[in-house]
Amino acid sequence: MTMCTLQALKKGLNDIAVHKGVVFILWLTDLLLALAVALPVFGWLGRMNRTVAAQSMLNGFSLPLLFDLGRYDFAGVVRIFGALACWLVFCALVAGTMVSGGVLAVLAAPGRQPLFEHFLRGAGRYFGRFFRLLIGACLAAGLVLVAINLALAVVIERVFGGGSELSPAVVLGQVAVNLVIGTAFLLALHYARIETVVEGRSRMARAYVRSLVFVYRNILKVFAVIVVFAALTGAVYLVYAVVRSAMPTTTWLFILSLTAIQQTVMLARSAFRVGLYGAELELFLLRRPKPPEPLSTLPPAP
Amino acid sequence: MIKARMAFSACLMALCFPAAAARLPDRAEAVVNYRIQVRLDPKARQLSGQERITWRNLSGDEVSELWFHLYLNAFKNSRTTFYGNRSLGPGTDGSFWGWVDVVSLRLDTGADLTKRMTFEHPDDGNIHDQTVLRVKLPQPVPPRAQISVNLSFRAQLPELRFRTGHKDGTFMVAQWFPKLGVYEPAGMRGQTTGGWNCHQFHAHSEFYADYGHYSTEITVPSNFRLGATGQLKWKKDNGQGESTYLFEEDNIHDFAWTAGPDYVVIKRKFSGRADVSPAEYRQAAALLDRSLDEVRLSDVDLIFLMQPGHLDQLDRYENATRLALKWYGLWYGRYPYRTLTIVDPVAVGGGGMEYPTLFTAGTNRWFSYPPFDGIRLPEIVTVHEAGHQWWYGMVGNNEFEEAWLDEGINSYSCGRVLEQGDGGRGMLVEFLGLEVTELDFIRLQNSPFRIYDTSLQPAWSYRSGYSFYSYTKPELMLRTLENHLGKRAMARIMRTYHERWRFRHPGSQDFIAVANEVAGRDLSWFFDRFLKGNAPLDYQILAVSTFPIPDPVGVFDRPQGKVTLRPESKQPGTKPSQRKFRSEVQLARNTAAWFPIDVLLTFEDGHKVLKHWDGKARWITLSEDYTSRLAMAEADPGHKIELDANWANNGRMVKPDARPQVKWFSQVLFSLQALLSLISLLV
Repeated sequence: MTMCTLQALKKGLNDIAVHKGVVFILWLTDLLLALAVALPVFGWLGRMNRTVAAQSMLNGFSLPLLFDLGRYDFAGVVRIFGALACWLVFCALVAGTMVSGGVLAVLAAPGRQPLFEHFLRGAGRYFGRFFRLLIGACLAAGLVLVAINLALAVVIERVFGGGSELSPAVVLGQVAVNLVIGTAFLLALHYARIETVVEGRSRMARAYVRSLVFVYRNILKVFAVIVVFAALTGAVYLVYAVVRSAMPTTTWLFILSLTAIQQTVMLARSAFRVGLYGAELELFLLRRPKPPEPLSTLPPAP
Repeated sequence: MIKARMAFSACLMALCFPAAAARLPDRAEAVVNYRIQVRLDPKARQLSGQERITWRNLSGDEVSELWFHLYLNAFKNSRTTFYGNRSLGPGTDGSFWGWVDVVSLRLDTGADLTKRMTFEHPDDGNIHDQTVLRVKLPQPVPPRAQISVNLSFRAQLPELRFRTGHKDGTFMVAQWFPKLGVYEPAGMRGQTTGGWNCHQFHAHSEFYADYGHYSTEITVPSNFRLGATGQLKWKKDNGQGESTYLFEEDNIHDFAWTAGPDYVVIKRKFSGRADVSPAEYRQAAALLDRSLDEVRLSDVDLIFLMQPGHLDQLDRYENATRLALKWYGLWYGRYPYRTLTIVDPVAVGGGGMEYPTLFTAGTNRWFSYPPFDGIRLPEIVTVHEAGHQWWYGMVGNNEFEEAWLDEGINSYSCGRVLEQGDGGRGMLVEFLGLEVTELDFIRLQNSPFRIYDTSLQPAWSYRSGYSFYSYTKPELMLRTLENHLGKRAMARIMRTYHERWRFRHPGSQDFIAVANEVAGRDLSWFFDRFLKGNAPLDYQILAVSTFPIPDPVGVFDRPQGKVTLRPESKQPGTKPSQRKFRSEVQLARNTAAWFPIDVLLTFEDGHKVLKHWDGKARWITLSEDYTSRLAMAEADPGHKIELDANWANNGRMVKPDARPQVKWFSQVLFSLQALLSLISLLV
């Protein structure tokens, strides 16, 4: 890992401590957005309150019970899943775009107060540009991935024969190729947003192409940054999974403790997201293409 | 000499175990004798063969025609009854289709019957369907006489589907030769007149044929590995890159084989001594009220034809096969053949299917690795298809007309064997914390809205849900019957039914007759409702309440005269601890069918009261006076009525308990936040 990457990571982790308010805003935004769908689910789950069979849901999870509860209230289930689908589209297109604008605005120009107003101004200011970037990045990534998968299908057909059962190694290889290429396009989106905030760009197509070049030139560094934060997040989830599996959830005390633990995990997750934004911003500042040297001023003509 | 020894052994067995010989037949009355010679051309994917069929007329009728199945013609074109004139989409090139032609048909005397052949369409009148062939005989076959015919045929194997055809150079050859239907005289399976039972090949129907001897010579390229019904008698190389194998077997009603260059052949042995403990023999004998000799199992040669990529799953197939041979054998009767061939099919489309002494199973490479190894598909398919050796193979019901007799009974048996091998759980899927048992899987297919069909109708006549009515509902029905009668009675019903109809063709009424006889009571009400009827079953606890029984008020006649009790007047000598509560439970029957049901009342002090209801009224209020308040009421607390379509509404608590709601709300919230966080990262 190069000094440059280490410096970016250090900056990212430092940003978590410096921008606790942003971490809190991020966590709160996610919580409020999640509640929009979770509250109707809460109402629907109320049917378990007088159901004897639902006591089994205290000790574990009963798919058959949920299936039984759901299939006799099909309209209710459809409503919930419909709401979930709309929510996913909204979060993907609007909420995610606004949040990244807010976070980057705060990280790129720290110290302005009040924080919440600064965050909201950033979210509003960059929404249009980030939205266009998102659509462009999705189209580019989609086209490239489709083309690559078509090519892979031809190769696999020739090498392994059509319709045969593919070995897990081949399938995993295919998934890995998709993952790496998809992540590269995703990272280009991140760095295009950063460039937009730092340099005030407004031509998003160019910004995205420049970011693709940036990612290509710094491929190991940009991947190292995201992998480190992904690993940190994974470690938190792992600890949670261990605690969760060891924790009984039959009493109110344990159930409320579980809720507290889950929200702590989400808080940590929000912190790592801020850290990732900070590290990517730092890496961009360190590795961005240098502007051309200004021409040396010639001495005035005698 | 060998034959003489075998006859002597058979006599000795019969003398030593007369009861066993009487109760568990070891041979069928042979009706047919097939001698087939077939050659596979792997390049053209064609079969060419000769066939000599001898048919014995065991009826009292003069039979003037023969009816044959030509199953491969189901794949001949899009207008067959099998394809039902559906659009088949792209990819239907020349190798897609399959057919079989009878090139010539002659009597033993040399008389040519080829021109007497006509295609019949007894089920739907579809003139494009050529899966049933009728041949008018010049002379009728007298009662108790026999007739032999010689056929030559040519068949094109289709692309592998419905367990038949070719795929990547491997051939699964099933339902491939011209095969006689079953002549059913009046009285057999409720028939009123004698006639051939020979149905067309439908998308949802299987097979029906007579028992007899099969002797099949198969010629394939020498580099092919071969697996087939029966025992391999010899193998000869012809020196021109081809080998011929002879397989023979008695007491069977079909013959299937598979060949391909990639199969890995592995042989194992199932031992009646090593694979079954003395304690298990004793338990089975006691359960069934049979002697130890009657439940004793034979040794079986297990032959596995594996795909090279699935070799690491051989143990899964093998353990499941041993489990099946052991428990089906102990419960219903020993496996009577020397070999059992288990084929790991080449691809999807070649999945689980049963043939005498051979079945195809099915797995996927991913099932070798966690977490996918928790998906027990190889075990389930193996145990299910192995079960068909008993229910289809040995008890040869008409699968076209009464599919539940093999699929339903076999599903029930399979579920029990899976539970036996899994500490009673019968787990189908353990995947990332999700657990689904065999019972969950079948129960969730049940619903109060399944009201259009019954389990007792021809397999091709379902509006929808052939699989539910042939597999699932009969399994739920038999599980419910077992819980109603007890394990012991049910085990004896199944054993007696198997013994009585082993190597014969029973009908549904024969099963019901055995059930009535062994249970010692008339169960017609049960079968009328759940086998012949289409009404689902669902009980629900509508309401529960509990309240203190109020002190009496008003005027009461007492020895000392009239006494007026007022609400505010205290009952002399009544302590709070003696105060009683009245608890009421409203129980409703949501569907047309009914079944006797237990209701468990649980009180706050832990006291339990079990009440019984005949289940006939549309609703009922059960009440109980007790010194503690009611905590909850459960209808069918032991889940004995597995036909009940909805167990979630079977229990109701008096006081709501929000813990499950809050716990899972918290979990959902957490999952949504995590999802949102991921979305924000991605976009």
